[in-house]
Amino acid sequence: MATSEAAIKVRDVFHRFGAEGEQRFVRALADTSLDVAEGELLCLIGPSGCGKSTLLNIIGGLMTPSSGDVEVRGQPVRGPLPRDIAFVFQENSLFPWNTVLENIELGMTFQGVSKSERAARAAEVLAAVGLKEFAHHYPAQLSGGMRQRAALARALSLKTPILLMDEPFGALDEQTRMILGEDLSVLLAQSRKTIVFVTHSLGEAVFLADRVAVFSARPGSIKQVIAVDEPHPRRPEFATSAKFTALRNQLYRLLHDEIRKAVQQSSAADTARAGTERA
Amino acid sequence: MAMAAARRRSLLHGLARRPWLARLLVIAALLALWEVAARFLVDPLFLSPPSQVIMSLDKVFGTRGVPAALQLTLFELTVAFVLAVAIGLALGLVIGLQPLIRRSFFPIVLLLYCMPQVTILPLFILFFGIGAASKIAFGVTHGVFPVIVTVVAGVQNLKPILLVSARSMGASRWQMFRYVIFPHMVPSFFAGMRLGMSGVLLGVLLAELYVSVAGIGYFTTLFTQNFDPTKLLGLIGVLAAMAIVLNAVVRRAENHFARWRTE
Amino acid sequence: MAGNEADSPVPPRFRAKQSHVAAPPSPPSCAEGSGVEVVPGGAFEANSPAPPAPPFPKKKERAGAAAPQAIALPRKQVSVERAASRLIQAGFLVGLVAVWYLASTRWGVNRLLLPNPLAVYDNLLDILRSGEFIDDLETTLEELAAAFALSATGGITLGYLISRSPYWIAVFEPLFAAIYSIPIILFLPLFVLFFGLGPASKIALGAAISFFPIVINTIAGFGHVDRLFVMAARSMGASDYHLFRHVLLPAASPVILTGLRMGFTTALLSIIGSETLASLAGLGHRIVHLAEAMEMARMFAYIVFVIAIAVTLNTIVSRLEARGKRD
Repeated sequence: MATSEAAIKVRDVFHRFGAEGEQRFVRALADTSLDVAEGELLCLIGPSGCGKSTLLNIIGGLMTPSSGDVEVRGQPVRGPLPRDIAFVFQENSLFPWNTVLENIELGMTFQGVSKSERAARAAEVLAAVGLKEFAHHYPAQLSGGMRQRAALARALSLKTPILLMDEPFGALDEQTRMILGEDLSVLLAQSRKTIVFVTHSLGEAVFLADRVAVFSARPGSIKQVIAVDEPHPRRPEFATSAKFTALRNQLYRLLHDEIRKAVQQSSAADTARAGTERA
Repeated sequence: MAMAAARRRSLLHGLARRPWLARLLVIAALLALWEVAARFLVDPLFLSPPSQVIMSLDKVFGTRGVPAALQLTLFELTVAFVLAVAIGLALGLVIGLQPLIRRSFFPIVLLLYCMPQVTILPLFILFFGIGAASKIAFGVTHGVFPVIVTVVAGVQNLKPILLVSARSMGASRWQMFRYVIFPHMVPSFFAGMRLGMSGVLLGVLLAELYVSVAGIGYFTTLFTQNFDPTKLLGLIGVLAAMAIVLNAVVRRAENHFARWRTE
Repeated sequence: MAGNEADSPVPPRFRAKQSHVAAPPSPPSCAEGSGVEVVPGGAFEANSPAPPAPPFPKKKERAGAAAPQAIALPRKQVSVERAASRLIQAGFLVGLVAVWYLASTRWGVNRLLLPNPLAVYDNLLDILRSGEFIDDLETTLEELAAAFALSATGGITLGYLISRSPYWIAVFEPLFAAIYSIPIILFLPLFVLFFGLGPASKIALGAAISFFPIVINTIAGFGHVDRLFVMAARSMGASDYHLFRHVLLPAASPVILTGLRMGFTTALLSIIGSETLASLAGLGHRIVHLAEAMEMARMFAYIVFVIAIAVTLNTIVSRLEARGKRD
């Protein structure tokens, strides 16, 4: 079965929303194929609405593609794989009625982890993300950055070989983002997990990824994959190196036209929608 | 002079810092107005001053049958409230969690909620008699709808990402309910209980006032017909105070269980 | 009580935002999430103002990418589901009438408890044709109009004046909220004592009861206007009048409209209620009169008639509310 060392295999995945002829019909993802090697950090980058998140949800088994296959560690994906895959979402997905600690333990409760083991792992991941003192805070009492640290801790506590991160720092300010990115790089270098990381940020992609997959505008497909040959954990100095700048510029050139296309698409769609609503 | 002015200033300052003090003053002013009106302006057959009402509270409760009537009304309220909450919670969960049932029956529930139920009060008396049963039933039909509606809303307005996230971590259906849907619903459930309690109070009191052969309704009618505003005001006042206190208690509970929302 | 925040030692005027008005989770509107557009409000009991209070404090979160899409269904399936629920609704109503019919004709339920639905239908037609309802309807509607006019004018005026100062909000809002939790119908005997059995007592009671949702929502509406809007308008040199006309009023009107709608349904309910309990005329009185005369079929017909009137009025009012909010 598991003949390849690829942790994730995506084969000709196509996805659309709605049916043909409907107003909300959207070809979200054109035929996409992709391999993610064991222990690799792959960034997906592309214009808004290009289907990066859709692809991530399909890999994680949260959505079923209209056609195509996904294999995770040799097994075809039919639904969520909580033992293999943990998610970190962009939106705050902590349960607001639970404290940070309760949130972390809850994920393990779902998977039947014993009580003592839960406590031990929770303490470990809380320390790892630097939230030890905030274990008994409610999410609403934390800043956005701390909430995402907590969500990351929850995902790490599940000890899955694969981590899917959907713009985890998307809603944060630039500086928080930078610090979280550095910390994440250190953390992930230790864990050697396989990671797929969706982002909008060119710098974030270059800073974190082993490879960056650049998406075209809708219907999204992979336009090019760029390798970032730099050992983990990445040092802050990397962000100011000439290599970093060159890669970032390369990404910018690749993305620029796609982003324009995407913006035009979405404003055209807005006009069309406004038109039908008025009618 | 200067000292008086300073004292006045500090008094105003104290008031500015303490809205509740001003609130008490407003209440006192209203009571004073009532006192003056009752003593000098209005026929004592219709209105008695608050001082007299308060002084004769013991007489109200000394009236033969009043303690028993209060007890009866409280009994009806309690039973109706428990039934309304239990039925409302059960129906609310069924309606909220089953899409087909929700689409089919929630509009009907809303329609019923919006109907002036008091038009069918005579029917309740015909069906359930003039005893406690009709009052309890009428209280339940008033209290149950707000509970259903808030429970449905509480189940509904859950952010989808939380369900997605629980699913991605491998939560079973039961775990989704136990750890995600239920805790999310608790604050609205308490809000529903508070609204339900107001509904139950209204329903039971309407029925009591309508039937008026026992319970509080009998005595309000009696005191009105005897032109005894002192006792009437005393009785009504006690019930009103009770309603305020009950409401405040449930609101406290509501805030307690909703503290994760605002902190 | 509702005002613990107001009891805190910091003088309200020093706080950053005008946020003393407690905004409890609003009772969901009837119109919400359903095909029917009727009014919330078993009104009497809707004992809480209804400012648009989202259950979660809004954070600047972008809409979830995965979730809504994951839940979206193909349109064909949606329309099938809608048809299915319409069918179930129709079946439910037909079944209800069928059970009623069988109970009154076959199962020997006493006719004095449950008249034949056909007889009720005949009576309803007769009532409509003869026009005998006109006097009672007129009485009820006149009482309603008077009560609502009083409570709307009083509630909005007083609410606006109080909302001008955070201090007065802190003083009065908890007071109104506390009184609002009293079932004011308790005071009906007093109103009858003061105003007699005629329309005056109904108008007074209706106005007194519907005053509270209106004043509370008016305070909440004007008191909740975002400081940012006010500052933006002031920075552009808006006068007091401009500020009121172009900032405060539009920002507050949705909440005030909700209050007016709640006040209206409450007034309607309390007027029919007090007519039922103690009166000489009006629709509520007519129903009780028929109940006492044991004219069951006619009473049922009147109940149907009154409910239809009430639902129509409430629907009109909530349509108006929705339209007012759209502008």
